[in-house]
Amino acid sequence: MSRVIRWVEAWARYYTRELSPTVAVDRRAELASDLFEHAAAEGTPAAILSRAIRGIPADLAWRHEERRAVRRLVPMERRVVGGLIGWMVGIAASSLLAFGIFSIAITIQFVVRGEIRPFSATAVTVLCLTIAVGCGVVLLLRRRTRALGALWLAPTSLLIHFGLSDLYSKSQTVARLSSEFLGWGIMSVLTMVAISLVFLAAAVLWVPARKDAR
Amino acid sequence: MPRRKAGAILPLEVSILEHGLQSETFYGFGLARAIADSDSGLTAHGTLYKALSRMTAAGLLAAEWEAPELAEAEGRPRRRLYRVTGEGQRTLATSQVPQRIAVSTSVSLA
Repeated sequence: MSRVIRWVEAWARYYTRELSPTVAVDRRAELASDLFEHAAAEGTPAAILSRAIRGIPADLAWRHEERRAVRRLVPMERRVVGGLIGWMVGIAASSLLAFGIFSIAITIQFVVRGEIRPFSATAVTVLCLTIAVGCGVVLLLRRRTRALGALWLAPTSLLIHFGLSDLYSKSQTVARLSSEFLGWGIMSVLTMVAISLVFLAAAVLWVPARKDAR
Repeated sequence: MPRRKAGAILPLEVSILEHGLQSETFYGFGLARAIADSDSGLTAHGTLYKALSRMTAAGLLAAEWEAPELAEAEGRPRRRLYRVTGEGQRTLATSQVPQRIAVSTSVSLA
């Protein structure tokens, strides 16, 4: 019996996660009372489990409605800014990751052809930063860890600097742009700063949301 | 899933209001037992508490936690007590009008 009750309570903890704390606590307490009364009224474990399982679709529908209600409480401006920042972070993080992978792929090509030695300091830095960006992207995927992910990604915009340095000797396009386009250096620095600021802004914006969700 | 018409209530909600009016207050498990269906047994947790939550939000029911001393004295968790509001009574009365018309029509046709 106690195992079934623990399972039902675990299910309740699962579907009430990230809801308003008052609503979540009320639902769990009400269910705990129901389970106690049902067990005291000589309800069998099968009967209790059956009630829980039959109610799963309604539990999920209720959760969906409650989450929508919580979202509606967030002011429109904050939702728009949040959505915009979310998109910018997504684009910046995936672009950084793609750039890092591209740089590594070019380096591997040159190493395979025997044109460069495999572990130059710049190439290793690019590899480490790309892995760091990958970790940041994974952190961004979960609501609970996205603030940490955004904070983690802020310094990884250095990948642009090291990636371009690494590509300078391997890509004619990069070599030509950096030598012929006067604003190239400033533009790459500004891009790094802008990307870092986007990540920092997202981290600041998402930290309170993470607290609310608890 | 089609959206429900404003003011429309489900058969389960009618049952809740009908049973709720039989006593001053009621609580989840007691209600589940009172409206238990002989075929499928007690109403599922999710179905019952979702309905109670929706009805409370709609103002058909009022909810409050019972005093902790009472629950402690009886050695059980606190119950969330519901009572049918005036709005709940009006909604129930409105929902029963079409049924009464249908019954009286079928009687007069017979």
